[in-house]
Amino acid sequence: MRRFRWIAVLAVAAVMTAATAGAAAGQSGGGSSKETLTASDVGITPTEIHIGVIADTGSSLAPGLFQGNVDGVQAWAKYMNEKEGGLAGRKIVVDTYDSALDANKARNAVIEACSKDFAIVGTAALFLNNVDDLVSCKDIKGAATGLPDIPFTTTEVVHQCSPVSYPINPSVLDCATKDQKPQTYRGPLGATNYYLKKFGKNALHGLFVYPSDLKSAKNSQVPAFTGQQQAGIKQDATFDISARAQQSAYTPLAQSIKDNSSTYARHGGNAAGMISLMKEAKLQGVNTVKVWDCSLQCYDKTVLAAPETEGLYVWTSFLPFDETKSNKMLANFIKYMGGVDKADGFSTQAWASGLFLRDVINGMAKSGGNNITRAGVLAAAAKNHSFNGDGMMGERDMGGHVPSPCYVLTQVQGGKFVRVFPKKAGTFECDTKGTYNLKLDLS
Amino acid sequence: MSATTERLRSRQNLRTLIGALLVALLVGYVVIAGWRTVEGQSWYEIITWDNVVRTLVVGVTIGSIYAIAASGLVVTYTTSGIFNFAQGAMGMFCAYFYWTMKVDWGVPPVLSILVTVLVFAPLFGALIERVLMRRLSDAPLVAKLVVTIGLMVALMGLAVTIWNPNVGRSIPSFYGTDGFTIGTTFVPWFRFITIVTGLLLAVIIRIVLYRTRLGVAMRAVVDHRDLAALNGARPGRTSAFAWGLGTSMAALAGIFLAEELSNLSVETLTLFIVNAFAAAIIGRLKSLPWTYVGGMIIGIAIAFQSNFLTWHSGSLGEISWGDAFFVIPTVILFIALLFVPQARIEGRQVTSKVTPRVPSMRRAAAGMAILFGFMVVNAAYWDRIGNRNLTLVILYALLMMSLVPLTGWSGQISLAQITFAGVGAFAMFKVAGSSDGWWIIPGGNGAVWGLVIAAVIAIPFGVLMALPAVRLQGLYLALATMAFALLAEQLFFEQEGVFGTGGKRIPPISLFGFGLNEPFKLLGISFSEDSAMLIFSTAMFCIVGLGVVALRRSHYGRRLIAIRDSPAASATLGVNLFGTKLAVFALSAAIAGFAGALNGAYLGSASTPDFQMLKGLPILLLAVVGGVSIVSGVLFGGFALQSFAWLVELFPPLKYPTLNNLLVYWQRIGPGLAGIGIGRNPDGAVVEISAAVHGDRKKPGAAAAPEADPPPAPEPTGERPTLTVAGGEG
Repeated sequence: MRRFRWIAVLAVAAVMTAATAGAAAGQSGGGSSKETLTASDVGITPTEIHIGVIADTGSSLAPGLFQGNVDGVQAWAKYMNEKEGGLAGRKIVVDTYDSALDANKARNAVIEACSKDFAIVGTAALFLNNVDDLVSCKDIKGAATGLPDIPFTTTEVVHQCSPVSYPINPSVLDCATKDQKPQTYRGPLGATNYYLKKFGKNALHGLFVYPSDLKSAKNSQVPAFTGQQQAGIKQDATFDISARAQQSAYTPLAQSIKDNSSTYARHGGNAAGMISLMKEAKLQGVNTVKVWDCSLQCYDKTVLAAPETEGLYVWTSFLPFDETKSNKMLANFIKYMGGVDKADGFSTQAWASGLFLRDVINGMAKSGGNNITRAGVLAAAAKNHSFNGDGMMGERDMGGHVPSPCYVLTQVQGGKFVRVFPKKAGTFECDTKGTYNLKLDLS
Repeated sequence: MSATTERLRSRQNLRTLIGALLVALLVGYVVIAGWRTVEGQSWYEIITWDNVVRTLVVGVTIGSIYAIAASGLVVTYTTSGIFNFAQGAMGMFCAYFYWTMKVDWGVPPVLSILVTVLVFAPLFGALIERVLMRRLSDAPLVAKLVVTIGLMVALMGLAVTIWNPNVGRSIPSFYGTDGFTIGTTFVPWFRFITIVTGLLLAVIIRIVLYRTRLGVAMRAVVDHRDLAALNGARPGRTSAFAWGLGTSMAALAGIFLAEELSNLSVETLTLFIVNAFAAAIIGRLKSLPWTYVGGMIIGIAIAFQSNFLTWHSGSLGEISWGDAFFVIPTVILFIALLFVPQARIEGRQVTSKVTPRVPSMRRAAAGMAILFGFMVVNAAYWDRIGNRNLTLVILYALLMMSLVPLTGWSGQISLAQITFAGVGAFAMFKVAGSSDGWWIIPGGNGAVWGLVIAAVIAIPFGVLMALPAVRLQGLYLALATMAFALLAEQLFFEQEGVFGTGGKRIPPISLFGFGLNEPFKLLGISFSEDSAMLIFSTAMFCIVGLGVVALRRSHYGRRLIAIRDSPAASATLGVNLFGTKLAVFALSAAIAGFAGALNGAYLGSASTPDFQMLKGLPILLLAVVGGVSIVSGVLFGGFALQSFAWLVELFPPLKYPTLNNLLVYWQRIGPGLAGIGIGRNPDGAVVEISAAVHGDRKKPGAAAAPEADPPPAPEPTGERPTLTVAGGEG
């Protein structure tokens, strides 16, 4: 069992690569404060609302893997209780479930959450491959309404396309075509258009590295890489490489860059892989690459710790952590996490999952009071097409399960992530031309 | 006798020749089909001087780390007789210690290495020898393996407890980026040091083991501890030195590997050793120069595929080869094992301190009835989650039961039971869960028939594994089954026609229209969802368990015990060793397939990660902890395995933050400690408890304890001389 940490990071990275952003929806406050609160559904009392988070944290092979998700949801709950008066007029209580990289434990966690929690947010269970209990979860009246689920990552198609799940990073697979051959994939090209504009339309050609530990992780990179190539970055070579590969395994890749005088290199795997590639390229004397490209899995402190990553472009679908002055919600996130050092991509997205639930419930409360139900939340979530976590996230169509093109491009400069595009702090680039729409058979 | 031996040898040579030819053809086909072609170039045009140099430089570097790691394994095995699965974990632990010294405490790199390799690692190794390994010198092989597996798990748990896995850790390279160039390939000094160290170690340790008094003493202690002591050797000190030496080599491998990683990782550093097994086997677990060659073969094969081959899905026909490069070390291991000479038919084996009591059928039936009643009561008491947890206990125990005839009675060690469970789940999906399944069984009880069909389909897989593996024994057999499991995991289960990406859905079992996941009422008592599945699973366990007990009491069961106790004596008495072993592998695969199918229906799905080889290790570990030779022992193992996670669930962090925290730590380390504990009780907890209650413990030199009911035939107890039929196992 091998390679779980890396698989997990790869899977998450792959899914998150597909992530994008959306419009502002900074709802605030609850409903009518004079209303008598009732136990309107499972997980709700007049004073408390129970929210679950399921994450792979206790596997003996990869302990603490998604601890960031648990921390992010708990920080969000603390913030909500202290600053926004809870959720739907009630104090948020977080129940945590350890899925431990085990399909059975993941399913048991869903069953238990169904009986105890109003909804689950920030879920990161890599082996949640059965959603029957999620979809058929019964409400307080015994009706199988389903358990509202706003996961952080969804590796399995069955979870990505579950009718009660609204992943904070919608899948690049168009669920309506999941049973077709070929299927439709749509997602962000990241900063591809920026690179082409900056360096010239035909100036970029190079290396595409696929993560190979998990088939679903590799498959999720295929549309993105294909889209980039269609947009104008020619492929010189492609390699599959394990996230557990040592640096010397990158020698052939670095030599390939030299042989082809490649100007572009993108690693679809984890931050450690990108660091190894850049380290080995430097050792082998590679000096032709203009763009070292990585998506948000490289927004990581380990990247800054390696001097060889100077110049690496990293694009994310959330604001850089040092922009707390330009966005209040980001400032709250960093504060409630306990500082920048405790924050990471996992906790950011988990926090954002909580914010989406807040937006949905607050929207319902405005029109129908605070006695909310799961069915009501699911119906309202489907209608939310412009979520942006009070501006800390790129805008995304959560209800439509559509990834958006929004991103912030940063570059590693002097041991820091420095924003390069768009220039203005607190903003995202959301040009719809920066997306791909492809038909591929990856079943 | 000599004519017989000659005939067997020539037959073996012919088999080896045919095997070599088949392997060469297979490798040739894979190379041709996977050859990396570049548009506008002929196939041979990518074979450039630069490409060849690059392959060699990368291959020799990777190979050197494998060679050092494997040499540590060989040293430990040669000098203690224990194949140390925890070698990688010990190297990992030392690498983390090195990181702490160098990065955290700011100690100069050279001093850090010296302290880690020459002080910390030897002390660490000697401590492990003194506390754990010394008592294993007379233990059965399975106990030795389980203790080292337990140590591996415990060290991994301990490491992540000490060093938070979510904090990035990297080690700056020796000499930074300085080095030299061969062709167009740059060789940094730290890689050069790795290469030279690997080479030097192979030579120096070889000299130490075979040309010095200390080395001779170390090997003598393994051969006969008491005799070595009579001749002036000091076994305790010698063994401790050997373990210290082996751990130092593990530390070196860990440090060199850490230099090549951008971020230290517990599992990468620990599991790296699995790939090095092939090198150790090429060295036949005794030859350090050949082990070095083995490391080079693995390293260069990996570099060759990276430079010259491509593995995109579909490049080799309809079969997906996307993970093929992962299995290169495994394939080399499997090939190396195939060329290990035919195992010697051994004389009396080290078995156990206690002969487990064989229950009468009446007693067994009474025990099963009590278990069934207990579970029915529990099914009514617990909620759905409780029922699911208890069901998992039964399913684990059922899978462990497949080890009872195989490992417990016949002494054959298998690390591939999880693979047969996967085959069973696949069959279940095909029969009961798929719209494009093999066939539809009328009557609405397809899933029940699916269980039977799963057991039947697992049999040929068991035979397929047994055919090449059955000629091996002991450790080689265990490694062959491990290789089989890894190959199945990476090349078979991942195929789109099997589990593919994301796994397959399996519906709940339905009996005459009643879904076993549905709630029901009986005699006015409400049973929650999934309680029927618990009752059904328990019933299945009881039926299979009674079958296993009946088998143990049969002529075939006694034959299995006989070939475990003394293969030579059994062969002399006319027992067909090959046929008997093949049959027990088939039986074991059938039980595991049945358990896997039941598990698939319980879980509602089946996917490759559910059936990874490493997930099977706790199954073997806890089965042995409970007592792998008896049904009640594996039931105990099932409870023990599930208890770690269940306790964490029973005391959630919201209500019991401190206790939950402690239980989480216990969950990480507990299974490993349980495995380590086997060193004290190789027969397993239940057997030990039973022996203590009934006073069955064997006295030295005493005959086996009498069975509860009069046995139909006496079991062999006396020493038998080794009967050599073919070349030695080595």
